[in-house]
Amino acid sequence: MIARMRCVQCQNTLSASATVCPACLSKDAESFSLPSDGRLLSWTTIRRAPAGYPVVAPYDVVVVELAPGIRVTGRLVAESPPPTMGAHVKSVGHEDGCELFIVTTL
Amino acid sequence: MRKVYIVGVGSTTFGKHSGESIESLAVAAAVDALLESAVDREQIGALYLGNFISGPLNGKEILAGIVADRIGLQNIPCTKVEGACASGGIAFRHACMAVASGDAEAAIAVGVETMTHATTKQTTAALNCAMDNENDGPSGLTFPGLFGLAWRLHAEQFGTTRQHVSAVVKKNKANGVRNPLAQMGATLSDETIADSAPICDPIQLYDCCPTSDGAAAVVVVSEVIAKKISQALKHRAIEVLASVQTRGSPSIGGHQNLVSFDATVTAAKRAYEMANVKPADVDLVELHDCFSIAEVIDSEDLGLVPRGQGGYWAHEGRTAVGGDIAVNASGGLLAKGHPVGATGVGQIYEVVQQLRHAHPNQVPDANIGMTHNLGGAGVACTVSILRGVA
Repeated sequence: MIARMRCVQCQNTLSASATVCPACLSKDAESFSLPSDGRLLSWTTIRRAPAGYPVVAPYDVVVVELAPGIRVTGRLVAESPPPTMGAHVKSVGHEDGCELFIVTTL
Repeated sequence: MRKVYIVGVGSTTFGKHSGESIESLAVAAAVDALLESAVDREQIGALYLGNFISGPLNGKEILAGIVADRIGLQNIPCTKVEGACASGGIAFRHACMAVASGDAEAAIAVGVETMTHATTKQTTAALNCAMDNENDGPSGLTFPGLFGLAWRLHAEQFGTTRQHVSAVVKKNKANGVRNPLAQMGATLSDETIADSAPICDPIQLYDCCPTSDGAAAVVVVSEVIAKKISQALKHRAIEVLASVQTRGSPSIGGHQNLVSFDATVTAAKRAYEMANVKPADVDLVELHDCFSIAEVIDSEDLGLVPRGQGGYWAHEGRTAVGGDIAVNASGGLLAKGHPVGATGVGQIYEVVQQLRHAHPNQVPDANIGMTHNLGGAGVACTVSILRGVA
């Protein structure tokens, strides 16, 4: 499962850095679990990493839809099968704030 | 709000300005704009300076006050504005607002950036400050990567191909050859583009704008001043019909649709309403082609090209000078260059020359022109609509 935060007052899903709910301005947040698998919306192969990034390029950055409207920007692990549009992906943990995914063959 | 007119523009070349300080570039553009405007410096009531990364790359801030001091302006409000790659467009809009509100009779917008003296590592680190580094940064994403994600989705949804996107690159590089201010105009073949180094699939080297040094400046005035100096002006005054600024999501997950930027769609809608013009009335646009696929998306978001057709229109020549809508006749960011804070003001410079019918790559019978400046992952946007005054 992937842990995310949501607003206690209005149940809005919050971004990782939110300290207040942008919908109702409540500061009460709670952790909840999202499914650890989802659909690959898009990906790109980064061949030149940002300065100081700890992972050696090339690597694939992915946008995954875990639930309707809830998207995560993450990275495919090196041993993942190659990505395809709409592929099923599964979370295999996280590293330095980045969600790690693997393409799963159904 | 009062009417606003552009009566003077200035610009350095965009490209490499080795050994020239960031202040000296800004001053050169500002002086050109002031001299052309025939406005007394005592009448300039505000200065807005667009800049993104003079802090990290030059160790210099307070540029607005420095530039005003160097060009002998009064003790007026001088403000540096920052909105990543949209910093210049924001500076222009604020200068217009100063005049439109009645706070100033005349104002000057300056945009400036120097980047080529820095190492690639320093530049990319500085540019990455425009990313939502809490949400998107940890994945190792870069700005070309963001547009790589968008390209793949555009291809999936609309059938956009490498050849379609290459048509944007070829057009803008060819337009750049005709613009003496442009950094890297070129005549390119499909093969050269397709064989260039991969950056962030499907983005390749020729899909990316260069890093650049440069500055541009614009003097705007009220109707009263415009009438007063009309005899002294060598060029026609250009009316600002609309200058709109919006925000969008700073992070990728916040965009409802990854092949469209909300900030652009909203800004364009408001600008059309404010200017009382329709997309079909627009003769030319300078839009934010930081990457080739961005031009495809922007042209659709601005309502100038039907959704999904951006690549097809470029490939069919409909966005060339003389086509349905001339897109980036200057060469755009891809060929003219992208000195980040200067870009938005440079776009105004280009459209003004077109509406004066004095551009080296002139759009026939140009009467209404648009600019579009986009920052970050779509977090800041400006859209302006200008009209030549007979």
